[in-house]
Order: sequence, then C-alpha cells, then structure tokens
Amino acid sequence: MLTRVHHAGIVVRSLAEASRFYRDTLGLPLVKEAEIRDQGVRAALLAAGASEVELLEPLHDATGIGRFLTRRGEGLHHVCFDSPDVAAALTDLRGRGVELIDAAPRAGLAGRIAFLHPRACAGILVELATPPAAEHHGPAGPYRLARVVAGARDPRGVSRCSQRSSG
Amino acid sequence: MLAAVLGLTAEGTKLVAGPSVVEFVAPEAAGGEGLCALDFEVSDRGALVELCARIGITMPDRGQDVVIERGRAHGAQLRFRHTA
Repeated sequence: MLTRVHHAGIVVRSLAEASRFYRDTLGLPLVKEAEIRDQGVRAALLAAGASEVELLEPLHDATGIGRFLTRRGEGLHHVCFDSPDVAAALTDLRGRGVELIDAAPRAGLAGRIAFLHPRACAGILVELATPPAAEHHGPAGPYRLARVVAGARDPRGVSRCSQRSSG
Repeated sequence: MLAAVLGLTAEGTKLVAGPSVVEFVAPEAAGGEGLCALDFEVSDRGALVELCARIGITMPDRGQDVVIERGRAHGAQLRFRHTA
C-alpha cells in the first residue's frame, strides 16, 4: 500500500547551484542533505507540502545518475512513493512478476529504498521508500507538490502496457 | 496495469497517491516522453507574488499558472497554481 508521493527526484550538475535555486529562490525548506557514497551521489531533500523534491548530483560519471546526466542532461529522474514496508512490497511485487531493479531494500536519503524497473512502470523509474520511523518533518514550505507529470504515447493505455510488462 | 502494480487508484490518466497524483499526458503536451513537470499548489497568493518577484517574472492573471521553464529549473518544468 503506497500512501503518498514521497518525492520527485531531479538529477542536477551541481547540488550547490540547484539548491540555490530550489531552496533560496523558490523557498523550499531543506529537510536533509547527505553524500551517499555507495550510490555515488550527493543528494538533498526539500519540503513541498506532504511530499519532497530530491536533488541528486553524481559524484562521478560511472553511476546511474552520472550516466543519466551525461546522456540526457539535468532533469526529472524518478518518482518515489512512500511504502510502510519496502521489503514486504518487494516480496509482493516479485511474486506478481513485476520487474525490479533492487532485489532487496538498501539505504537511501529517503530511508530504506528500492527501485522498480521502468519497463514495469510505463517507462518511468519508480522508487519505493520507507522513511525512518522517528523522522521529524520540519516546515512543509509554501508550496504543495500536487502533481507529477509524465509524457506517454498513449496516456490512457499506459496501464495496459504495464500489465504486459508485469506478466 | 500500473495502478495495480503499484496498488494505486487510477482515475483516467492519473494515478492517485494520497494528496498527490502522477498524471500521464501526450508527449506533445509534455515536451517528450517520461517525467517532465511538477505542479505545485499555493494557498497563499502573496507567496506566489513573492516568487514571481524573486524570479523576475510578471505575476500572471488569476487562474493562470506561474510557469518556470526547464532551462531555469535544472531540467524540470515547474508550475505553480494558486488555490483559494
């Protein structure tokens, strides 16, 4: 059971520059920032109502985020949904034949996280996250993230396409 | 279907996830395939006026979104809508 959009992830060249725009110019409050060495990223989460915006700067080119930046430039990378138990969600998804990137949860800025394959999700990269139980949210900021928009050749048929992928 | 894969409710082209939605639109409307834009709601019109001043754009008429194009927002189109 996914309860909300936890965050939308944006790949950026420089976290410092992007933070100046999203935090200082737009006014989104910083929730947390960290370097996650095993994923090769420096990342920040900023509050937008009940959801957040995640900025991701690759530490080097040979990571998924680095390759994305080289190939496509800065831009929206993934959407993350809040799951009360990522491990249980992965077990359920695997049992239903949904193609996964991560077989088991790992540590991420949003908590315990795992990615599903875009082939199972209408071409978009989907992350699931279980935030830390004791996580305290600060101010929600002046704006509420209401909608994440994705382009698809057949917007109404997106679900049919995903059904085939999920077997 | 994607809604079933994720356990979310589908409403036409939208997947409902709590207070937010993921909406699929034609590539022509999105500027391509894949994730493209974030829509924000603002209850305080004054905050929107301040935002326009900070980014140096004219505050649009009531009912129209403040739009920040991809090139300015590190690759994501951002749209801000005042909700009373």
